[in-house]
Amino acid sequence: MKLENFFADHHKYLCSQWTEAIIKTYPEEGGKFFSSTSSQFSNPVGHTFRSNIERIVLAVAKGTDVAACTQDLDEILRIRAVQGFSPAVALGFIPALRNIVSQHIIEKCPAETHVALLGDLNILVDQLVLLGFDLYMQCRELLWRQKANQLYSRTHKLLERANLLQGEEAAE
Amino acid sequence: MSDLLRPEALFASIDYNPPKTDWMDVPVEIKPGRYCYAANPDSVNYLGLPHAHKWNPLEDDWGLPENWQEIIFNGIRERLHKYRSFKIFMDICVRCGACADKCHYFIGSGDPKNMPVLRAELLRSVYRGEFTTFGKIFGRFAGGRKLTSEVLKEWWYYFFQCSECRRCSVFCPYGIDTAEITIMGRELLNLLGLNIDWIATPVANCYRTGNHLGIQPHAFFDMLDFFCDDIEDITGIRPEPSFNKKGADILFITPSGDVFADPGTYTCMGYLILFEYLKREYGLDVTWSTYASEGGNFGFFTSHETMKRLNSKMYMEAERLGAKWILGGECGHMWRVIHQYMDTLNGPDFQAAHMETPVNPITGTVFKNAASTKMVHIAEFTADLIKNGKLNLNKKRNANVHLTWHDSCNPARGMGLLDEPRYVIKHVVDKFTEMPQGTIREQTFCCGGGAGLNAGENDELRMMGGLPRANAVKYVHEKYGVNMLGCVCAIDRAVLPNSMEYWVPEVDVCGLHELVGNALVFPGEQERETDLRGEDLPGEDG
Amino acid sequence: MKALYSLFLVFALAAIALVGAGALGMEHVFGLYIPFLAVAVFVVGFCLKVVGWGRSAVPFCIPTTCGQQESLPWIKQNSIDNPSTTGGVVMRMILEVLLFRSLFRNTKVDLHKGTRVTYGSSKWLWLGALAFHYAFLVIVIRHMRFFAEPVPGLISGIETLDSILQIGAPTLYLTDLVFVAAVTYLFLRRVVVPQIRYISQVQDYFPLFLILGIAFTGIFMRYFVKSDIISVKELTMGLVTFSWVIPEGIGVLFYIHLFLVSVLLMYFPLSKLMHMGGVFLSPTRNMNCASRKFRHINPWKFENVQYHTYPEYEDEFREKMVETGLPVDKPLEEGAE
Repeated sequence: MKLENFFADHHKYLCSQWTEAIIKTYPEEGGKFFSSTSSQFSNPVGHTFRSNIERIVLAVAKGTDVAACTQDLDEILRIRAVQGFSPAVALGFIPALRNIVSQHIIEKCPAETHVALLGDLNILVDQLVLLGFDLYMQCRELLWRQKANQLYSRTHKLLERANLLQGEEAAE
Repeated sequence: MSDLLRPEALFASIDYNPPKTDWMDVPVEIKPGRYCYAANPDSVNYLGLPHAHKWNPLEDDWGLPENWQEIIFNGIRERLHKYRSFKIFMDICVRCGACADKCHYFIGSGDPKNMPVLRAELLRSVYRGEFTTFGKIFGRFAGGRKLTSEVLKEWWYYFFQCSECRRCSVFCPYGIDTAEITIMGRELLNLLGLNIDWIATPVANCYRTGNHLGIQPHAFFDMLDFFCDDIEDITGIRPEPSFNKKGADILFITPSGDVFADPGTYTCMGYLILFEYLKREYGLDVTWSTYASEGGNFGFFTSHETMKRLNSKMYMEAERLGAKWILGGECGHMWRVIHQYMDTLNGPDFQAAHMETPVNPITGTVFKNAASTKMVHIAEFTADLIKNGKLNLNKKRNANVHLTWHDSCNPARGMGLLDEPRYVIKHVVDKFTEMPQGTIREQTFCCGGGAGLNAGENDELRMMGGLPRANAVKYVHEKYGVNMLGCVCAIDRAVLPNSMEYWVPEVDVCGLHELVGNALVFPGEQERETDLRGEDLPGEDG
Repeated sequence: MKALYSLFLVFALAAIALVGAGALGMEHVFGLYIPFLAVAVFVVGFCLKVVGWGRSAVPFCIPTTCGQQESLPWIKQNSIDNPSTTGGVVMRMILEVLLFRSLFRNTKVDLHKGTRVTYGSSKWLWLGALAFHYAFLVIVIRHMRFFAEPVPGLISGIETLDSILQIGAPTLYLTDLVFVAAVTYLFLRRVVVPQIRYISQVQDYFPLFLILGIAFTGIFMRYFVKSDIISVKELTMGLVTFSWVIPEGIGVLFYIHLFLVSVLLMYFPLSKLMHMGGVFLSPTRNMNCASRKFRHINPWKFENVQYHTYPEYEDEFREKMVETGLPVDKPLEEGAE
């Protein structure tokens, strides 16, 4: 059995467990709210977590390259990156997948397949973690860039409009 | 090896999973990224507001005056007497929870104290515990608690996480308006000098120079002159706006954000083009003012009195210049203040006798709806011009725009300006798609930075709060190819570009009159090659 | 936990009545004095509270506008959700008070199978609240037959309608079913929905349990442990005609019922139940939205307000203004001294 097939066979369980792992990082009431309804517009956070996790799991089940999950993972991390978590907590749900899947493998699969499956799992999770790290950093960098731009454009424009930068402009 | 299989255990130690305690027992934790810096005491002093002092929200000691509790109690007592809204909203909430999931900050953050009902309970619990007999006797049992410095910090943290957008009040069966409670909460905090700098300093600036950014008259003139240069480059026509002109028919006031920050500047260019067109075609006499050069009113986020002080300039300037009525630019809370407060606050004291019920001099339309305040929204003005066929508009100039419309909170829920901009849009843009119902019109979502919360340091809060709006934009972007988000609010134009860049990078932000400025065709004007942003126009066949 | 407290409290109250009116034989206290006191507390308390609200000023016109404003004549105004006439405000209040319009707005927007936007409703709260309040109203009206002789036609008419299904003897009132179901729903959502549980207080559970207790004692009296209606009416008529009597043979269950009602009446003006009066006075709903058309007058004044006038402004910036060519009121020489 390949890891893809295992994901395909158990995708429902894996999706719910994995989503749960994200939700658990929130205070209870907020978390319950995120997991409560499926409404895309009144609960965008919960909706994104649920549907994107599902898409990632299905992508793995199809055996597609991890890079294909970029957008789905990005949408989740984009939310996590502004919710005041430390980077470890924000990204923690990805390595959590290792535990969820490996336990389930051990329960459901014959012992002789464990080594191969767990080996593949390690690779998968590592890839996801690294991809997630890139995406998370992109989000944070964008936020910092916006902050820097805000300061720059404020002072620069004021100076420019107050005609204090004429010398500089003439030099250009 | 087995350790590696247990990442959950690894992360358990940093899991943010609070104990199941009552909210009153959860101490406030002031998180960076969610609060704005404390006000500069110089600004607070300049305005003569109480207890200016230097303090830091992250430190234990906030430098409160000795008798701070007494100050707060007297403040509450006074406000209960002065504001029926406050008194009723303290008494009648049944905690039905209809508002709980309506706040954009709660939807984005999941922080339970961002549920409107709980935000209000922060104050209500103290009201019950300190002001009602029942609450004094039964305490926690009656939902009451004592005012401690912890509670005060919680107030500060959460009352400055509310953008006073009023979305919750639409759904409340008793119309309880969290904005009203936030306003009272901020007024009380203000009595102790606990303001935020992003509000206090613009207010001080506005008081002194006439606008939030502290632009002095010559610089204000220069900035508009800059726009005129740009407009000349693009259209071949140079607007000649009037400043502080005595005897002008109409005084025009817009938020200074439009004069200063992109993409509001393009909207400002739109105003200039429109006024120039109307001047040349119909002899419209409009003047800008450097003294009243701010439409927005951050005083509203400080106290009712500060709001009055800043707002008074509009009527004072109309009187000095002899303007018959005032035209207001695109702004959010500015219009809440004008529509619901201005005439009451300053009408009796400062509205000059010579002011008249606004009449559009070009169409002859009487703006009866502004008969008393004598101030008209520019969307109303432009819609009237278009209806009467007074503008020559070419939609093709906006052919690269696929627009969706963000109803800005305060014009929507504190005024009801919904269809005027849509009417204008219909005549200046071809491709227009609405976002899903429940996210527009009176149920519109806040941009995430209203009520003076668009500072740089609380970016996380703004991003979380901006998610519900961005999410709806994302939907119409992905499904219909929308690439532009229009709005009538200067704060929107400051906050949404960052929010869009983060959540839906393919969508840009613009104001209504930027689109008007693009579409408006002067008689005999040169063929435009770019739009107001300097971007190439699509071919005529579009 | 808070729910348990409240439940316990209601049981304790029932026990007080049980012991007091039953074992201790204090029927006078529980049948006459306490109900009379309760009505007095209710009436006085309610009035004081409403008058108290009324004495607070309404300084500004702050309605929440929930629709298109009145502006240009050819733009269709939403004259109920953004009223500009007294008639419109009255309509808005009628819809709010009688039909809970704001709760009805509670829609959920969703994507059906990821393609089509649907507007599913989350109207359960609205339905539950409406059912609860109207059932309560009908029950209160039905009970008026205990306080009037002969029973007015309206009351017996409502009674007949209410028992239209003709099930059982005495016939089952529909409102009893609806009422218990609605209260149970309102209670359950407080316990089950995590956000609602988080915001709920003893003050929220207590009235629910109290009302449920009243309902159950009432239902038991009617359908199971039949009370002597004639004697009960003798007592209640005595209460309203001030000829106080305690007839023989009224079961203790009646005293428990009456005591819980008395507690509810006394608790009413002290609690959130005052929303009944407050909804009429809420400034975000009961005001005319056309605040640019009609000036709202603030009854109090701000004192010692400092303004920054144009002359002060010009004094500070005159030189720069003149340099830029902006018009000034006073020429430069005069002001520059």
